[in-house]
Amino acid sequence: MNAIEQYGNADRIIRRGLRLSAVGFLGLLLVYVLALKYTPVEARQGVAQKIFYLHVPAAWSALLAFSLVGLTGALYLWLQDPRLDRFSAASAEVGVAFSAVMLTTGPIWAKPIWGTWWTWDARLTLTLFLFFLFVGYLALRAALHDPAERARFSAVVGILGLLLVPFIHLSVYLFRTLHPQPIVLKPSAPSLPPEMLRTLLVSTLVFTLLYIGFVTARYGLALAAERRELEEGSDVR
Amino acid sequence: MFAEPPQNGGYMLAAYIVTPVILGGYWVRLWRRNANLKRREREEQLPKR
Repeated sequence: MNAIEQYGNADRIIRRGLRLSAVGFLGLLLVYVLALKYTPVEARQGVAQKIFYLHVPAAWSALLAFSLVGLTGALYLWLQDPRLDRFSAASAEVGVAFSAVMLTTGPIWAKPIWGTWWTWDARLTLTLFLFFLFVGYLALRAALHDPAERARFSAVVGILGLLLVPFIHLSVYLFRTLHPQPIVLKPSAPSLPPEMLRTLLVSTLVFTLLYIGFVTARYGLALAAERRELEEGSDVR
Repeated sequence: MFAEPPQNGGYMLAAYIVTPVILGGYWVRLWRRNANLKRREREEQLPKR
């Protein structure tokens, strides 16, 4: 595919991404209905436990987004394909949005259950560092104007972020922490009643769909911005 | 016999409001970036006609 065909697709990609994420928002409505009407109230935590159906899928989407930034960053350093860099940038920005959900719903759950909004335990602190690292990643991208230099430097930061992800997942085993241990992504069978597990799985699918929609739209926007730069450049020439 | 579950619905409500506000806000941001890009493209094309 030549550059003109590739950039010509930008509008279609943006539209597809925005539509896909709009469908994701309808899915979020379904998650609300399932969480509020279908799943039982947890006896010890009360209805605040239902925050779990948003917090866990948001954490999943954020960690998926940041892992893919690192992986595509490593692939970019090897293959030098600008599509990989464009994807990394899109995934990092979307990951920051999902992290914002994770880092606000977490303390809202913690206050009634732990009695405090925040505690500096390993899982929470590492997650906050990961969030700051990717805010820094976006700031770095905004500060560098040479596309090749920007892609190379940000790929290295993305790989450093990827290294934090397994530590975050394993932190509840490695350190003494208040954060609950995994109840689905663990070696033994999930320890949840079937209604709760189904709602969590539907919510995870919906958040993944939102991630795909957002990244698609953001990727298309980067493509459209490059097309504009190319057209401006050709006007000058 | 189990005790009554704690009454903490306000926290759940806060989380269920903040989530679509953040994600919906991001969607609107993407939509506006697209609209601005298109508007600028249209403005640049006008003098050429």
